[in-house]
Amino acid sequence: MPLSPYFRAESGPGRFVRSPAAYAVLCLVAGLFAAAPAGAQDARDGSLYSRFGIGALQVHTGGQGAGIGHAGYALHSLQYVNPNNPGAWADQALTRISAGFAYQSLEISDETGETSRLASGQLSGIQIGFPILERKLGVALGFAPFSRVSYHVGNDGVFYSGDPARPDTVGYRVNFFGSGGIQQITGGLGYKVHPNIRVGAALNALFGIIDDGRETIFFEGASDPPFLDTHLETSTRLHGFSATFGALFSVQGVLADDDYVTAGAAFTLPATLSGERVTSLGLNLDRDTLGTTVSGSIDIPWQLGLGVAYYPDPRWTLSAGGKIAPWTNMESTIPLPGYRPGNEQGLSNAVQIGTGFEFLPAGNDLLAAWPARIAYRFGISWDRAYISPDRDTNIETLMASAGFGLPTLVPGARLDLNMQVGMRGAASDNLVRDVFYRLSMSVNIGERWFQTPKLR
Amino acid sequence: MGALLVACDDPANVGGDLLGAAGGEPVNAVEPLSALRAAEWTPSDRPARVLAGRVDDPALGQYEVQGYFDVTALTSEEFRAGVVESVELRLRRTYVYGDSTSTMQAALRQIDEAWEADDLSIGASFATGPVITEFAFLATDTLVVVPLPDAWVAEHDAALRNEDVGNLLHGFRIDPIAGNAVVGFGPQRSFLFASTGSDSLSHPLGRAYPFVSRAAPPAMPEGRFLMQAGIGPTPEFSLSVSSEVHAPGDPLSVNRASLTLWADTLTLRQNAPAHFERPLIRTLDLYARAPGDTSYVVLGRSTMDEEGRFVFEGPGLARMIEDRIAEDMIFELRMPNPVSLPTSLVSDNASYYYYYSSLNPVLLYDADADERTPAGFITLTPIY
Repeated sequence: MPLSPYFRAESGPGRFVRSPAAYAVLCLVAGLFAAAPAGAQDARDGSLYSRFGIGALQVHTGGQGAGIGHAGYALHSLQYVNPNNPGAWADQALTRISAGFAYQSLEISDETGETSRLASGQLSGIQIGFPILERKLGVALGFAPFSRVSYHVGNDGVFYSGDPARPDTVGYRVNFFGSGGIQQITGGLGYKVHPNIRVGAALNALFGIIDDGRETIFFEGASDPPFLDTHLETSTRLHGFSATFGALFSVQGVLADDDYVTAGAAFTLPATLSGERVTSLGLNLDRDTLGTTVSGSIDIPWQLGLGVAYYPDPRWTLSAGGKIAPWTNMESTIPLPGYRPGNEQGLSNAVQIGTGFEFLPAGNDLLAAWPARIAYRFGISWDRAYISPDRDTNIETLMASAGFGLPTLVPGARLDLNMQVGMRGAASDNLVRDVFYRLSMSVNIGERWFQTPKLR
Repeated sequence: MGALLVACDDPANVGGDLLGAAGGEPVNAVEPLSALRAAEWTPSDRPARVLAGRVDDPALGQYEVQGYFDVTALTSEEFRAGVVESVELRLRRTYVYGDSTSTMQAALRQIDEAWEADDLSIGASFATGPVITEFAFLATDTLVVVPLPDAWVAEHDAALRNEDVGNLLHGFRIDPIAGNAVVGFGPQRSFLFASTGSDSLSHPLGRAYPFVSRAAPPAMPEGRFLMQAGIGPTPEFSLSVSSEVHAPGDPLSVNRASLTLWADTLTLRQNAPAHFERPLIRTLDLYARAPGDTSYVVLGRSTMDEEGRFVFEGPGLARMIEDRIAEDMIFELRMPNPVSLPTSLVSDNASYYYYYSSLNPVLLYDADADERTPAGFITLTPIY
């Protein structure tokens, strides 16, 4: 491909031995992996909409895509490993590692004006990519959440004891909470079959545990008879595989002599998640398992992602794209909140579209002043969730994002900071409106690994 | 995916309506208990209080109680070296049921066979000899001294001074002759006192057992169940949770359960003449077993409240019902086992430790007593 000048390749020093920065990223990745299982135990401070189905589907577009409205299917950069399109993995010059973390503040409000505020943080994804044949054949591995369950809500009530010996009313609260979700590990290859065509394929391993709980607790007075609380927990373990095939097409000189256009597509096959569900009653050592383990499966649909990006010159990246998935075809033999077997009511075909731009004042000038080498990003996106607790109302999310790609003192490394603000759902008809503010940060390091220096 | 930072403020119940009918709401169920049935109960750990007397209770009928008892054997070399000159029973009255102004007359007999107090069924009796002596006292007397005749003393001199006196003398029985009360003696500060002139021994009360016969049935209203401490019968009843509350096979969680039984204190109060003492059972233990099981577990204790109710509740009862809700659970009411009572109560003569050896009654409303029908109140949460 002759368009290399537009690729902002910030190469590392080309040493065979990894730098301290790379070790730092590896340590960060290892730490995030180690912390994940423990943290998941208490991660209940997300959207109530994540209760339904297999949780809220997550969008991981990397440090660059998150800032431009998740429009990442056609992004073509030597600085980032595109997590959405295996076709883009063909063009890799350096070994790259990136890890992202997001912190979210969430404000939930209902039609009465009641509001609750929650905050939580989570690992947003890890990507590793390296070339086998430089800019010809590349490999990428990734770990990112596929869906997330994270909610906690309570309903208060009062009931009459019914006992003439205890004629008082008793208050109670039913708490509902959930955590966990499905994770995805992706690994695959990208190959440049033609100077303008790159294709790729990836195998996706899906796995995870979804915990849903319900507890009934009583507010009896000190002198009242004791009530025993009810603690019910359902743990569903799921696993399955799917595959993604991607392609990236590029054309130079579309609107001007030196511009550059890419178009990308990624198709993910439908998958069947096998699952086992255990329901238990009680707490800790007093926990009783109710019945036998329930086995079943969940069929999730295919997904098609499309995108286009336009590079007028080395300073600008304009991107747009989206994806669709026919979730009305979802079938599950395991009961899921909001899902009725054999009935697509409440299900929708998921749609996500977004667009945005990135502006890098320095373009390919690696010696420009530091502020000029900052990448400025802005984007918007909209999506429709695949499931809704109200069969007549789709849950839609509108989000705006802005961010910076900060160069660092380590050549080839960037720190991406992105801010997103969005609104999900509507505070009407028993639904709620989520207003979220998300700050994400990812570290992206590229170096030459696995290549013997030519000069000793 | 792992959440690494988790924070939460203002965890209000915003969005609860979003969940729809997600369950978890507790419901109440009122289940009538079965009719009370008389179950035989063999008390153990019976305190050695000697009950004896005859009473004509206007509400509960006529009783005659023969009091079997023995003494704890003691001996000494100096006592064995002498000749027993006198023997007398020194009995401390600790209980009265009936006319407290009554003059009591009783006869003392010697038990002629070996007997064990443990696991005696209600109605057991033992062979006795002729009357040793008769004695009289007032029901209000706190100390009754019964001298034994010289002939009996001379006849039993050797046995009384034998080291094996505990096996040679099997005890005594007090038979009522006249009076309108049942009294209880001991167990503390009541002795068989024997003297040789140079030495004396005070044998404390050992075992005791009351043989109760009813001369006239109780004249109580219909729909009542009479339970009397020490002699029973023990009320037994069952609880079956209806399918309206619990669909077979559907799991549930029992949040609270209580069983309420009502005592008819009015009937007893209206049929109590002047100076007629009739202490009531005021504390009961609830025992339970599953059908087919023979062993019981104790689930709770209840003391009658001001309205005459025994309310049994607690985690043990709730767990029992949760685990056995598909079965007919069988319950029994018993007097508290004195061994299980706090030391402070045991040391009190007026405590239930001694009521265990008494005729204290409680008149319970049985099934079909309208609002006082025994009933179970259950709060449960269906799981699905």
